Amino acid sequence: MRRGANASLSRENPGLTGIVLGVRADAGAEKALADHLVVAAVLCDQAKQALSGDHFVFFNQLATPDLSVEKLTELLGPDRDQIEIDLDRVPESVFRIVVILYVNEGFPVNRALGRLRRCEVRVLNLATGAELVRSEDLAAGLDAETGLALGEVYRHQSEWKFRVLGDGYADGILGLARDYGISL
Amino acid sequence: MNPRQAPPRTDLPFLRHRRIAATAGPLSLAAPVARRVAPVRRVTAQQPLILTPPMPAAVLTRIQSGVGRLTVTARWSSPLAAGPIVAGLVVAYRKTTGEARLLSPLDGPYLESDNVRLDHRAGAPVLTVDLLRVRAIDRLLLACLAPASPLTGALILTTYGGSRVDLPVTLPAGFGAAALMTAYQVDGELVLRAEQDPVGGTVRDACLAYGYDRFTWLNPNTPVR
Repeated sequence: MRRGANASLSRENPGLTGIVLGVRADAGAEKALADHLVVAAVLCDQAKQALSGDHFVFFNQLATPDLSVEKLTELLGPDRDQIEIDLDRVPESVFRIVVILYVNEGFPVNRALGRLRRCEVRVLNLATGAELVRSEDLAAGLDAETGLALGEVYRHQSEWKFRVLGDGYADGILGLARDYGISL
Repeated sequence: MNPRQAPPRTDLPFLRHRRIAATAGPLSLAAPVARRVAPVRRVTAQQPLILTPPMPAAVLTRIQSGVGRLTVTARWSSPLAAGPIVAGLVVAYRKTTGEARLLSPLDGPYLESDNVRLDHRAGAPVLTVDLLRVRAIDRLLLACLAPASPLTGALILTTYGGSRVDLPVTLPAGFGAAALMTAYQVDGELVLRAEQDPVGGTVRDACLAYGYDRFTWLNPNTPVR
């Protein structure tokens, strides 16, 4: 799926109750970059703003309070990171779940996402492990960005859909936090 | 002060939960006695926090504790004087594996260990913690070595998002070593506490006072590496 494209999840897959968002980010020999990549999920309201600080799922906060979204510590498949979503448990106030990737600037690493060889996000059926949709290579359009909104799972009328975003941020997590209302 | 009207004391465990005293009369299960619980002090970019003796603790959220880096800068009113002991910040920390580390300016102006960096090269000493590995840290102690003159100033703690916590520091001359701040990682949240505790003459005294007892010491200020 190209940037901007969307696909139905629940309508095309009747009985779908859970999905896994898998992120692949191949940094090749760029170990400094690979070691500082962070994948996270942001649960947003209709205004595309994070519901609260509790609705930012990443390595230091592995699940939302209602456990509808969890970052998996044991991966199912070859992805670098995976985020599990129990669609039936997602609160009504959540209209979209955005999966993001950023370079953690602890000690400055001077590495940007443009050095990635490949970067994809895909959606798996939680029950069967089958791949439902996969994005194109999002690394192709990157340069000095240190943050990236990969894709989003969102409500559309009575169904769940997935859209590839591929929106890069030169200011990394700071830009993502600004756009999605994450309080750092 | 009337205990019923006094605020909770987060620094004293036995006063953290003040209860209203029982009054004479039949027990009413329909109206439970209100229980005052000390609030958790949070930090935001819009509202800097100052840690003082009555309210010495604050808690960073898991986002603040896990994104980017934490920076602690020491701002003193006068430069720390050099002498037999080079004054500056000392950092002791314990990892969740049980290993303990000590970073001291006596070992050099720039030190890095795991995800902790201590830099004395540019005037104000700076401690930087890379939060990507925050879960590897169990607790941390920030102490100061004594200058010849009284020490006033503050530790300025800044999160990656710009939230700020100030710890005012006022210490007399020749206090030896003083514990200034402790931090504890509790399920991904960093609990910060201002100590301002002149514990004694040496770095070893400060470490032992705060439970860092897994070092072997070359001398009272230098652990065996």
